Amino acid sequence: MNLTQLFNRRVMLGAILIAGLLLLITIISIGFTSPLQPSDVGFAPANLTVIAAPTVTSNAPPTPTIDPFAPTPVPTGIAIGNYVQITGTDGEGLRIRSEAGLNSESAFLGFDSEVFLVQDGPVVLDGYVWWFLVAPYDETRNGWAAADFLSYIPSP
Amino acid sequence: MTERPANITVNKKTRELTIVWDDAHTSVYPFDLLRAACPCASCRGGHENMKPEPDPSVFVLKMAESPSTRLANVVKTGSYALTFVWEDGHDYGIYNWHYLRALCPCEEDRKKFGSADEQKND
Repeated sequence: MNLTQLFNRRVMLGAILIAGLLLLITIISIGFTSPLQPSDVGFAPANLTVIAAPTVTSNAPPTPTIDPFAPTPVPTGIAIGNYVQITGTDGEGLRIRSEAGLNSESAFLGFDSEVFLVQDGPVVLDGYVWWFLVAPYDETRNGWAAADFLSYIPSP
Repeated sequence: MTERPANITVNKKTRELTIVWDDAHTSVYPFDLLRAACPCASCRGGHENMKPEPDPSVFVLKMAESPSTRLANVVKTGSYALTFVWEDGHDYGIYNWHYLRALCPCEEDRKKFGSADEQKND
């Protein structure tokens, strides 16, 4: 028997069919045993909603709010526990307000050069950075003031 | 760990975290409870005190409003937990779903997880 007789058309066709069948079985078995893309691995992330706190409360000093789009307060040395002085009002004084913001009522007028202790803040509202101030000699003189008219001073 | 949240709402106005679980149960957590129950090793007093469920004492502790109990941000940690960033800068606690479910202050879950805790302590 020579090679031509051994590898005749019928034998070749049979071999190709068997190879194709084996390939098909292999592909199907891989498909069945490969890990499914899981609905169950991890979990479908839940919705996370954050409702922001009000920037002003009626009966308590507002808590500082975090607004990613608000301008970052420029470092001025003003910080809780530091002392500040009212400046730049041309002697007219500075409105110290009961809450942060221009819509809050003015509690009293701070004198130019008057010194205050910073106790809370900053709150960014109405285009200003607001700090809660308390006069060191009279704690009833307290309220929110815009940082534009405050200067940091070392402890008096 | 089979607990999975369907919806999470952080309300800074009411100072509460609300989680609707996939079993339709709703858990409402005051911020001060979340902070008192911070699961980090530092707050728990060392790694040896860390457990999959919160310490029962956290339900009795009352924390005054302060930067420690004011929430600055909340971040999803992978697909298994939340990390809370408090205004005092603390952000070490990773609250996984099981821990949060076990922290649910409702009567039903307190009976369920509270009794489990007692059994472990026996």
